[in-house]
Amino acid sequence: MQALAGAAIALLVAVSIAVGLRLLALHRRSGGTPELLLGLMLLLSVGVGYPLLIAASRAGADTVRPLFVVSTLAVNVGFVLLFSLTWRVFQPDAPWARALAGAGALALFVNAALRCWDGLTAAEVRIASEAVAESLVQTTPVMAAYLWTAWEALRYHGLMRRRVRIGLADPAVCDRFLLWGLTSLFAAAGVLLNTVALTLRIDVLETPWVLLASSCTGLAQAVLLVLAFAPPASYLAWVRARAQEA
Amino acid sequence: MAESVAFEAACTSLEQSSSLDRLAARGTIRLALKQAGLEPKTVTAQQLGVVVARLLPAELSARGIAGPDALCTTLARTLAGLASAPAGETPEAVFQRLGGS
Repeated sequence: MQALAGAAIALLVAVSIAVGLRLLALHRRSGGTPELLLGLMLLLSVGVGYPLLIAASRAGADTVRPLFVVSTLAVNVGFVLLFSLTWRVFQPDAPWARALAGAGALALFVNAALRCWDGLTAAEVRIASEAVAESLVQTTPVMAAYLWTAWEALRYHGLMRRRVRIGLADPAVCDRFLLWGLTSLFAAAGVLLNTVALTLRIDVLETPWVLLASSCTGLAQAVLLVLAFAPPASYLAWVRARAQEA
Repeated sequence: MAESVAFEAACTSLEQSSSLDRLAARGTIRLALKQAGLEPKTVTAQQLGVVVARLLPAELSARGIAGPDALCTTLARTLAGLASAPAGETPEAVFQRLGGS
């Protein structure tokens, strides 16, 4: 079971790095801000932050502190970018969305500063055994970012389905909103799972059902990310053919 | 943010060409846009042209408006006369780019 979980995490990290680099290359050509935000978010949070956090949990006393600080900064800056992406793409003119993105970013920056300070000055760096309250302070803005992103993407998918019906939109683009919404939902489920496990004092690495569920959310995210942002031509053709039949 | 130029032009044209008052004309076009998954703030003349051709005749008939096809032809002419404004950075345009299609 631990091998499956390890493979799922490795696949998700590899896919996130590949898709992130692809989006940054797209940004170089197009100059568009959304591809920059999403590309950096995937690279920092999933490509750099999570692997370094895992490395920190296994590191010796001489390397645990720098690994913990860099992973904390990468993860939290990544989620600030996700808040910004969702605000700018889906609700650029809504004051409430600007306020929500700002509040999320502030919470993440403050928490990153506190965690880094703690990581540098505390006698012992606690990673898997941190207090529930400390964990919730970190996971609440992360969950909020994922759930808001899922809501906006799935809401827009509903609008796009109606446009497809009268020939006003590409079924492949409509499908992309669904894939991104589901990616965010699976990511939120993964975060929730780990938070519940921590709250119940369950050993995430030794409990089969937690490992299985965690692997499933990771694998689902990896597949959905590829289909959304690096789709094979055969998949796009299948989506369009299915819409044509419908 | 105000409604789009195309939306305003279609509403004005419908109000002037039919027995509908301003509020009813705007409401009728809003309902047709909702059916099409479009929003008054961002809809373009080209998108509204499709809605006028495919969904608005039924909306007008449901309100007992006489000659819906002729009315829609008038609206389509009005929309065709508008300069095609760029749609801007809509979520649809962003996601089209992000997936490379």
